Parts: sequence; C-alpha cells; structure tokens
Amino acid sequence: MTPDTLDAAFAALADPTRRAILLRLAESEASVMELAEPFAMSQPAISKHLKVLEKAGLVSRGREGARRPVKVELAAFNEVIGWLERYREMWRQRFDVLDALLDELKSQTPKS
Amino acid sequence: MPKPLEVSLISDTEIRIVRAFDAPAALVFRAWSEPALVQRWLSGPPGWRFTRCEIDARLGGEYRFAWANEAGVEFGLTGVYSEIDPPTRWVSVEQFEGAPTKSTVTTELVETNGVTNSVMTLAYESKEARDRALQSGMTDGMEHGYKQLDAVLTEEQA
Repeated sequence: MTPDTLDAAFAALADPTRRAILLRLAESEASVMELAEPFAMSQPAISKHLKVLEKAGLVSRGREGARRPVKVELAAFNEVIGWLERYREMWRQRFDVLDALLDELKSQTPKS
Repeated sequence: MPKPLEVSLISDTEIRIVRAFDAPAALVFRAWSEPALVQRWLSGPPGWRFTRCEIDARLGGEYRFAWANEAGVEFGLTGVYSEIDPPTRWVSVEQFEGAPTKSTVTTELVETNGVTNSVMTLAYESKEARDRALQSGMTDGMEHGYKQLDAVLTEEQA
C-alpha cells in the first residue's frame, strides 16, 4: 500500500459502522442488501460507506450475473489491521504486566 | 482481570492509548517515574531487555531508556519533561535514537474510586512519522517478535 492509500484506509477505519461492515465481510462476502440488514441502515447509506471502503482499497465489488457481492481485500485489510493490532498487542502485554506490578505496590502500600 | 485497552488514531498525526488500572493514580505515576518500576513493565518485545533506565521526573528533567536484544543490537529513547504535575498529568518530548523526528507524549490520569483511567496521547510531527511509529512499534527489531502473532491473526482471518 502506498502512503496515500494507507491514509485513506485509516480514515475509512475511523468510522464504527465501516469497521463493523469490514468485520462482517471478513466472515464472507455479502450483497449490499445483506449488509444493510443487521445495521438497520438504508441501502443507500450502506452504499455510501462501501464507496469509502472501496476507495481505500479495503473492499471490492464482484460481478456474478445481477449480483454484485462485496468482499474484503484481505491483503490491504491485513496490512492496516496488522499494524494496529501489533501496536495494540505491544501495549496490551506491557499493561498486563503493569497490572501485576500495581497489585504488588498496592499490597505494600498501607491503606489510608 | 486486565481491563480493555483502546488504541485509536484520533487524527492524522496522533495516537491515543486509553486504559484503566485498578490502582490509585499515585501508584500509576510511580510505575511511570521510578526506574526500578519502569524496568519491570515498559519492556520491548520478547528477547529485548532494558540496558539503561534513568528518569529525572521534574520539569525540564530527562529520561533515558535503552534496550538490547540477544544479538547485542541496542536502541535508545531520550525524553525531556516539558510539563509535570504528579500524579495526574505529564508531558514529554521524546526521540528514538536515530529517528529524524520527535514526538510529544501527554499522559493524563483520572482516579475514581480507586480506579485510575490513563489517557496517553502521542503526537508526531507528521503523518509519516506517526505511521512509521505504528508500523515499527519501537524499532524494526520488534518485527521479529510479532511474526508469530501475525501468523495467528492471519489464521483467524482466513
């Protein structure tokens, strides 16, 4: 991914509905109608979110007869989610250790 | 039980890390400001250990951290406190050894009923610098430690 597409991807991921759509698509491809259902949103509203995701290279539209299923672009998805996940994991590990350290400090500190 | 961790990109140049700790703010501040404590948790990835940890937690005071891996590769981080109001708020400007840019780290602690919510905001000079920090964590050396995690995540998404 180029820095520009990465920016677009991060911007696209800033929205909770779009993150939810992506996670749904990570399970399997879906039509716009199928996507709209669980989100209680109109199809045009979902289409708008999909355009942002598509522009960011995170999803693509196929063509199967009249159907145009949406699928996640796994490489791009992994690249962006991968960074953040790794970064998050680093802090998760550190803070889990810090939790234990704080428990130890609490037991040494007289209760006031 | 570990509490949920929130890592978000709040703007093009910033990262925000939010986490609650089941301890008073005074103890969380100590864990951030006393070298003997910092060395126990602010670790690098597996295989990296602290080789230097000095902290002068005063306005204008410096901190110097360095880590090394088994191959003897070392990297360091230096920061200066530009604001410090223990135990609830401190701001530092820090720079990794060899990095072209500095970043500003603001940490705020809010204690409620013995639980401390910590909000850390890392502000970089540019999007590129922010993304580089996200990508590499602390250094490229960290990548190795996370190969395994990558494999797990890829498996989960497949």
